[in-house]
Amino acid sequence: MVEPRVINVQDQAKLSFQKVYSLVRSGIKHRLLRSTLTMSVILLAVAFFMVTLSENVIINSVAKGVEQEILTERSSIYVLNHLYIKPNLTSISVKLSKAHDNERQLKEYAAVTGWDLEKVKELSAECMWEQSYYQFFNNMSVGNRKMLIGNNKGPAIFTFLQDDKNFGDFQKNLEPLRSLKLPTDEGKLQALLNNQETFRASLSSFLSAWNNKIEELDGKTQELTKKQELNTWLCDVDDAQMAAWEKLLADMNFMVEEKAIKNLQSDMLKLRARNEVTNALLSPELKKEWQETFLVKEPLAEMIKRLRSEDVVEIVNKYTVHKYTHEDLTGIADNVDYNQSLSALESDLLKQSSKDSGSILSGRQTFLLIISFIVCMVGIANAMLMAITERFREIATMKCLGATDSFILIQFMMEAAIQGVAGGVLGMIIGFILALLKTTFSYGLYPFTYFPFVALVVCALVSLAIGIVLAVLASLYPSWAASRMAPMEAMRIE
Amino acid sequence: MTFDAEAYSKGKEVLVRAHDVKKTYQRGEEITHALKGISLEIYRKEYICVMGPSGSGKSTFFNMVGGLDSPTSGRVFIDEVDMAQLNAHELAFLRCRKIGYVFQSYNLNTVMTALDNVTLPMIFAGVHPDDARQRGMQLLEKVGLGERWFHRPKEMSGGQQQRVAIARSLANNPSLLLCDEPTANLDFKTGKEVHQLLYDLNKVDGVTIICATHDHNMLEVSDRMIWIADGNIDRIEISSEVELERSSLGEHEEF
Ligand SMILES: Nc1ncnc2c1ncn2[C@@H]1O[C@H](COP(=O)(O)OP(=O)(O)OP(=O)(O)O)[C@@H](O)[C@H]1O
Ligand SMILES: [Mg+2]
Repeated sequence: MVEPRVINVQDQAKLSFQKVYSLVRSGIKHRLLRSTLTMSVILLAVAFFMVTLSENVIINSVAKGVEQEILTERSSIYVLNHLYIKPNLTSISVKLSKAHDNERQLKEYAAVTGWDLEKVKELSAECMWEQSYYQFFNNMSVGNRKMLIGNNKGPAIFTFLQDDKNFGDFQKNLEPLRSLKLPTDEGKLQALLNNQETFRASLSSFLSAWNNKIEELDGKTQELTKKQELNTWLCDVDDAQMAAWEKLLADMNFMVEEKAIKNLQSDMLKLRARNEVTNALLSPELKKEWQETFLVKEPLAEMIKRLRSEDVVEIVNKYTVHKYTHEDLTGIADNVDYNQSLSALESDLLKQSSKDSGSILSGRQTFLLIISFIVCMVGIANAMLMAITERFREIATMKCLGATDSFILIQFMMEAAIQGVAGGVLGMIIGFILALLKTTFSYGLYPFTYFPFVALVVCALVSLAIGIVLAVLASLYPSWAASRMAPMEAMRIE
Repeated sequence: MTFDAEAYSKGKEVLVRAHDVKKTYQRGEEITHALKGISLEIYRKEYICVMGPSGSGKSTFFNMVGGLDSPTSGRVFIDEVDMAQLNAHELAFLRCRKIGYVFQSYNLNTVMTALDNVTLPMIFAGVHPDDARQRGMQLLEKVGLGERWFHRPKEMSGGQQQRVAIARSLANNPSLLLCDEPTANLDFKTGKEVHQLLYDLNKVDGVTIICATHDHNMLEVSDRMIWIADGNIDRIEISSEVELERSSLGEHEEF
């Protein structure tokens, strides 16, 4: 037998990227219907993913913005409440726990009560733990709560758990409830329980120190305002009186931000106008005249809307102490609307957003995202698998004509990538538009006011990447398997 | 009569050498011995017909020779190159340059024009696109489809599609053309056209052709007939001698 010769493949052409690309492109062009189908699957998957993701991002951004707006809108009321309303044991604990990372607030508490700053900080931290436990018990189902702590509420929970037997039961009952995670480890909880008496005692002594100062401030303020209500007094106050009030606050170590003080007067004026006009609208005499003028009997909400019309200026001013112009009344109507929409949004968003859980996504949102990701993956994998297996004969023929394994692999990967990019981009855009429509439908123009541009760009890139990567990955295995097959095997499969 | 291998091979160059090629297929418990040990030499510029009943192993033998599948045991040499020693890349090279394939079901790329189908193997071989187009047109003219280069397979008849497939198989000047029942899907007349084409290719261009067929017309144009039965070579006949015998016997058609 003759010695076997070796084959020389040196001069076998390496297919340039461009050539493969042009082959792939013409393939897609002529198999347009099928590629469109594959692309649409990718498109749908990416769009679905993008809707879920960007809807969450928009809602979170709107929630943050609205929260900020509410804080500013009500800041004057917060300031006055903080200065003149005496808290009780429950509310002081909430106030202190909220202040735990607010150095300025802690300093005020220390300075006003004359307590050591470190001690205030300690107390605030303990209040925070207390509140986190209240929240923990509040968030669980009624059944679980009953089993763990019976019918106890507030500080009674801790008293209940101080009992050794109760605590043992608590631990035993908690064991199987794996989804419930204590805010602290058990050691810390033990320490908190052991420390209850001292904590309660120091909380109430802090409370009385604070409330004494509040009472003192109240007394001195009444001297200044000549027994007038503070918010009415603030409406007509002059600079000298205002300075005296500010000095009084500073003397007693209360620290009110300058900006807040500046807004106080205008806010109080707004409030007075709103209250005065609403009260006037409720008076029977005005209602009668209103009905005679406009020939309709309107509920309060409708009447407030009509405040924007010039005709009502005269009627309203007949029943108010202060006189208002057309602009004033329009402003009041706007203000009422604004406040209403804010409060509605606030309660709505509290349910939706993940503000409380502290993470970017709440459990429900994470669940939805995971589901949409799985849908995305299964859909794309199936589409790619179909697209390749139905072309086994074509692959086998190309191998007979001299296509190398790597050519087949690259060809199909490239096809997948092109479809991934096209489907991904379109899906991303459609998903984004849908998310925007959805959120606009529920929150009006707020999504545009608090448009989270950067976060949405990240969302878009993530969805796009997922579309492309999934498409390529899903086609990797079938095309690799097809490229490795002996041509005859591949041909027979069909 | 028996085939005298020594006398026949004198002065001829071996192109394909099969040595005790066996192929068994296993599907679960069931084992099929498709080829039971075929040894054969095929010479350059020969026109070979492989005949045999359905299921006798013709296609299997073709796949071994064409490097489309590997034998369970035994060796196949093409141009004295051992197919079993080749890696995937070298096999691709061989399929691209040395062997042309014509299938019963044409296997054209349905989305490409006739010309694109013909130039595809040249692209794999690295021929410049312009040269590939030029040669593609020449080949299409050769098979009589010069005017139909822009048609897609579904716009052509079976015979025309098979002619495109033959043009494609010739793209890179292969030294061996493997045709597995090229006329099985064609009617008598178009089958005859394909035969004529293959015959011309063999006689004029000197392409070695191995052709599996049930079609008795083929016998007239071939140099040798190899009869396969049940995975073994049954007998080998040299056409000229058979014809001599036949004419002396008074043209009996029996197989
Ligand atoms: N992949 C396979 N798995 C199992 N058995 C197979 C496989 N391919 C072929 N066979 C078997 O091998 C034998 C030979 O098949 P082959 O296709 O070579 O026959 P053939 O002579 O080409 O027949 P035909 O004239 O009908 O095309 C048959 O019995 C067939 O069932
Ligand atoms: Mg067959």
